[in-house]
Amino acid sequence: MITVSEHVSPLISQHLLEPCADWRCVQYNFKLMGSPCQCIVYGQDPANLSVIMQQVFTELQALEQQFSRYQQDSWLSQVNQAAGTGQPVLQTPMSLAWVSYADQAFQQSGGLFDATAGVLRQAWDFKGGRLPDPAHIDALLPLIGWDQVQWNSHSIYLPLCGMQLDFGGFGKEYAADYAAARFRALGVDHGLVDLGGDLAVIGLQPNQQPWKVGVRDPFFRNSQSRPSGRAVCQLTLSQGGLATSGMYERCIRTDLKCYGHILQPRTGWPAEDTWASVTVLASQCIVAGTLSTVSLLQSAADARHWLQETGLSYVLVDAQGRVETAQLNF
Amino acid sequence: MTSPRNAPASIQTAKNVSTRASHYEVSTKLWALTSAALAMPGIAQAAVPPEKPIFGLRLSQYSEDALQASNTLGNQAVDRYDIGVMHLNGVIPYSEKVSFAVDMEYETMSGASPWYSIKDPASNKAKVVMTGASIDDTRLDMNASGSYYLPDARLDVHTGFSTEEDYQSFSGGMGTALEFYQQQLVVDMGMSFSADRLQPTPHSQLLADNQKRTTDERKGSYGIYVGFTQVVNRLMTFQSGVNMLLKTGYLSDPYKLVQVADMTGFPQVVSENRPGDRSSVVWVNRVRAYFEDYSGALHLDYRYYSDNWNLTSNTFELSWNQELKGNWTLTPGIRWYQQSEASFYAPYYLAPRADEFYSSDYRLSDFTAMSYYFDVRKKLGDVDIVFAFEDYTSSGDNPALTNFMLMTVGFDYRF
Repeated sequence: MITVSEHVSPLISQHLLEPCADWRCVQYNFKLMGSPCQCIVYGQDPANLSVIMQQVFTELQALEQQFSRYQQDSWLSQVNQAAGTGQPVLQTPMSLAWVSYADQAFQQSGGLFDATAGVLRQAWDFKGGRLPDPAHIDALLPLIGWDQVQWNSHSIYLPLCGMQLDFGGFGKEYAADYAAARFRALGVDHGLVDLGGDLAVIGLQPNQQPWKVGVRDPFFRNSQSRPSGRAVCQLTLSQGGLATSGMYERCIRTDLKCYGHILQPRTGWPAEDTWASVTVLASQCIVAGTLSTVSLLQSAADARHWLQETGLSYVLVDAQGRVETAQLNF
Repeated sequence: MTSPRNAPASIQTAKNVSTRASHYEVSTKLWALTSAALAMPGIAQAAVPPEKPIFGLRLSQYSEDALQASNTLGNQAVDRYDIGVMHLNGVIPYSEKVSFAVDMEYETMSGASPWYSIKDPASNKAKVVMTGASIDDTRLDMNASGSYYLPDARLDVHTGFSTEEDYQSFSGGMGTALEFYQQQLVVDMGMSFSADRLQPTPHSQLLADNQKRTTDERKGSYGIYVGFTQVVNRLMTFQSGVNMLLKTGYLSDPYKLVQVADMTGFPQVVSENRPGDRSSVVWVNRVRAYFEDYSGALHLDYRYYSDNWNLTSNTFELSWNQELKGNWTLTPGIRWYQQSEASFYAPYYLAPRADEFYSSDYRLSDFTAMSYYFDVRKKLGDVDIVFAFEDYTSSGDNPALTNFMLMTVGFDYRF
């Protein structure tokens, strides 16, 4: 049996693991895509589990490089460098899948989820904590618009100089699904992947119980003013994945309000009157992540309706810390 | 009281409708995002077991049109079958690897059915003689299945029984679905069997020896199936499969008679008699294409059937599944069916046959049929409300060919 006392994720406070006789557990904490991550896998042979863990971790690092917009020679960098030059970049099987997913996310969200919105990072400095110049944002808006991207199964081209493609909106969630699928393929039947609060489970717990996961209170902070381990509610998860998006994970506070880091592609500013955090449970972590992100790009009422239409389980926390949930077993 | 076996065409139709409607439809955006996610390298998993228990109820009313007076002996319009069907089904996920499904159907049947047809000396046309007494019977059908999900594969076993006053059937089977190329290709195969026992109720009238009903008969069937589903692209799938079925034993309808002229040309009425084996091949093809711009899916099906009784049939079915605002789904569709007659079929026989096989059953005759249907589905939270309507008309030479209407209401509840 292990207990996880260290809360590694920004929003998921704890994985309440239950004792399981005859099962050995290997746990690995690491950093990926800038977030604290954790994998827990169960099996009979701890040496074998460690080998599997190392293998999957190596693959995750390779995945991170492919997703990275900082690697100069990555596919993503090539596309961004070719923007406005008239030179389309050839698709790879992997890139086509990402682009197709980004396209679906754009279509299904009515344009709220836009893989070209990352360019707004030039105006918003969340670390510095200063509000951007509205003129700067207005200047960037013409560079945003997935519907302007010219792509097919062979190539992709960003038509405007300065346009940028960014898969950060679902990279970590995809990596969680990928890791869970890899563990499964390598023979692990029970385990949990937590990449900075984006979760994917592998089977049930060894005792055949669903995983119990706490949703972190987005407002509770410890003495260092960092999010800490208080759960607003507990979920059970027997398959699939879970993702949380929070307006307060990274934000710029003024006297009047808090500007969250999830920005509307049409305005360049965060949506008004949103939930403080949205957690969604789905068959894939990436789908949960897209749905929770899009929820924060809408007003609270619209987000609730949008989630209800999917029929999935979700947890909403509003700006006053009130919790609203639907169908907590998954 | 007597044979509900007269109505398998109707029962089959009712089943088709309930199967079609009980499939849980996810919301468009979830479907689209999940499909795109599953296309990403490494994510696709084996057949995904159902996530939550689902309970469904369907109530159907099947009503055959009355037989036209001009088609009956004595020129009297005769009411035919009415069948009420209650169908319950449940899907129970047991663990990440195992799920169970149960299915129960209860039918109450009443009305009259065609008994035999004769050559009307006045018009020289075939006319129907109906069973005199009104038939009342009930049928209970129970099926259970279990599925075991492996990485890239699924194993299924199923068993069921069906019981009526004069009929018992026990069936079972197993199958597997194998997934290749990250679920781009799924290969299905399986086998099934059934063992049936018929104990027809004796006729109330005194009949001649050659019209006497058999009292205890058996039949069996054995089937194998191979098929595949190919993901053509993100928005289209194609499915094709072949099903081979062998039926042996007593395959006649114990309640049906035929008119056969004897060697002297004098018309006699005797029990029908069909060959003791029937082997058939069914080839099914399905295309499902999703149109993003219209939030709708096109379903196009073609089915070919052929058996050693020389009966062949072709079915084309076209439907459009339209998602609308407010969680409504509307599915209008049409089905066209055409079959050729069995080699030994005739509406009446002007001379005895050397092989002594006779049947005037309209279901073995040459005919075409057309169905129009629509399904309406509204999602309200955890509940899907379903309404379906079908109008079926058939035409051909047999005077007993039927038209019917089928109405279904029901719901699916996801826990």
